[in-house]
Amino acid sequence: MSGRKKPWEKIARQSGLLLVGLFVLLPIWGLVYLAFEGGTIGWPSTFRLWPEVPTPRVFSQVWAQASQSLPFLALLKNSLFVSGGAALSSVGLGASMAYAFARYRFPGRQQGLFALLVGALLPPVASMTPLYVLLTILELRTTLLGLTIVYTAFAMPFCVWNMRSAFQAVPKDLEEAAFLDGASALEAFWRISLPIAMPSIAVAALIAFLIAYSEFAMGWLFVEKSADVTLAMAVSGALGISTFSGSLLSALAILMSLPVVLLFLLLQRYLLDRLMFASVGNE
Amino acid sequence: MATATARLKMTKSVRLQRAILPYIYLLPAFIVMSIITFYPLIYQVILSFTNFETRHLLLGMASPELDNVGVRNYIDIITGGLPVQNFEFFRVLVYNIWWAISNVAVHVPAGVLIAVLLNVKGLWFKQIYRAIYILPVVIPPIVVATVWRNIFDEQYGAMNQFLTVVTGLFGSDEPVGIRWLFEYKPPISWLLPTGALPLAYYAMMIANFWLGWPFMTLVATGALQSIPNDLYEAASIDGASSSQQFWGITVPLLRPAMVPAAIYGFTLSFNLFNFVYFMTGGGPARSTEILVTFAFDLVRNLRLYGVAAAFAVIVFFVALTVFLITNRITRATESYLEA
Repeated sequence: MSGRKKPWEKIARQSGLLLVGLFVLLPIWGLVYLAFEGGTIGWPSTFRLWPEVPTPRVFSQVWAQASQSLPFLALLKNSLFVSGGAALSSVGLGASMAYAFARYRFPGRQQGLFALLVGALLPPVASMTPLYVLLTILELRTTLLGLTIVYTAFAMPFCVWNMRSAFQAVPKDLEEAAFLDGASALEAFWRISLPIAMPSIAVAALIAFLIAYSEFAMGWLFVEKSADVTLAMAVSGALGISTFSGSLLSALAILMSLPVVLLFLLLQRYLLDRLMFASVGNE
Repeated sequence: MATATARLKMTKSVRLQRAILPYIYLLPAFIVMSIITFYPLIYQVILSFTNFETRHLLLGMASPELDNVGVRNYIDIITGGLPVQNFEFFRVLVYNIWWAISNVAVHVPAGVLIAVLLNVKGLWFKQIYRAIYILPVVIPPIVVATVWRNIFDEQYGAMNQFLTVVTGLFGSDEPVGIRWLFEYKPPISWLLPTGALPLAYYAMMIANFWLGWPFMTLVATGALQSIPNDLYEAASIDGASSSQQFWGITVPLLRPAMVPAAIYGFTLSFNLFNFVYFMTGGGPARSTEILVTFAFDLVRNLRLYGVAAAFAVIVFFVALTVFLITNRITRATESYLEA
């Protein structure tokens, strides 16, 4: 837009953006406040903007014992196992399917795409009972591997759908040039398309990771041993116990968010355009 | 030319290879998805015609006492014949659709507006704003739900405490105790007819707004940056005001990006399980229940697996219908891409 801006317009714009920023930050501040407030059993009873005596005490408590007998790192390990596993297997197994849908015309393609969409539309709750029975029969239900399979089932169709648009965006000329140089179809996929689409594939993996990372309801349905509890399950479970502490819950929630938020801020510039492209990528 | 000669030389076996190739690419994902995505779907359909209960869980379909009950589960759901209080299928369905539409209707314009505000060359603090605005997208939804549940807590929530401070300034020493998430009586009932939305709906709208708009801003920012500046320059030479430029250039050129984003947002809100389950659990009295939270309740608490399966099949068809309708709308707007 044109460069001649009146000063009042600048002020209005800045104050608008500032208000939006405050709206985003205030709830997060509420969380930080509660965590550093320290000894709050239940919820705080008065409105304050700043903790009376800020203390990191609760963080060390959560670090040592986040859920029942488990330290924070054990929960994080469980979470990383199921979410990382779900992300890697949906992307790893789905990538070649996404490529086939993006590049080839073959009998059954339309039906396949439709089935894929059906899978992506299916809310997780819809396949709950069958997966329960299936994993019980396979004797995997109460294991972390079983939970990884459940999360893969949720994330995979969506991941394939997103990666398909990533492969569609790779210029066809590049592959044709590779064919001229004598590359086989498989080599063209492996050496040309896959590396170019990699950033968008990483975003698909990240989305799959986030879906699994914050899922808790299925988790409680499937997991039985307290050693297999994930972070999201611990956060949701913290509300129900008798010695409930708002400070503890907040500290746990903050610790849970930190790894993903830091990762995202680090990759922000690199990921942002890809994220948009993954969701908006059209035919 | 070179490709043409290569194609002529192609032997029969190579051509056969080419025809099979796509299927080889499909195979790994196909096997996995058949087992964990499509097999459960078919299983669920069969299940929906039975009286599957907890005692059948161990053996699944092989269970000897499993009875075929025909379409009774479906009829029970639609006519309210379930042993469940406060459940009317069509009320929940209408609420669910309204919940998704009203959310998207707020998120998209707000997201576009904020993206437009941000999209100025040499704006001060731009990077800081961007870093802050991305936070709701990145923070795990369960944490977000926790935060907002705290805020709307009737006794200890920041919202009521803040309102107490404010009313205190006006001379009231009574603490504010609005039951944001659990009040059944709809607010401003003198304004709306009976059966209006409960207070929890508005509280959840605010919380979900916090969660939802940054994604729309993200998409809109990308689309805004691809609009060539010449268009605005030409328009201002022709004497178009900035609001004319906004409605004549920005809005039509944003539409191709925003329509798919809005559909994505709609599906997301429509099936927003974790958030709704954690904020209100569908309460008070199932007034903020959406289809997926009810389906979960059928399995988790009521243990009516056969009914839940029938319900899942219905949910699936609702989602499919919604998708087909929205897809038609997208097709209708695709001409903007060519224009």
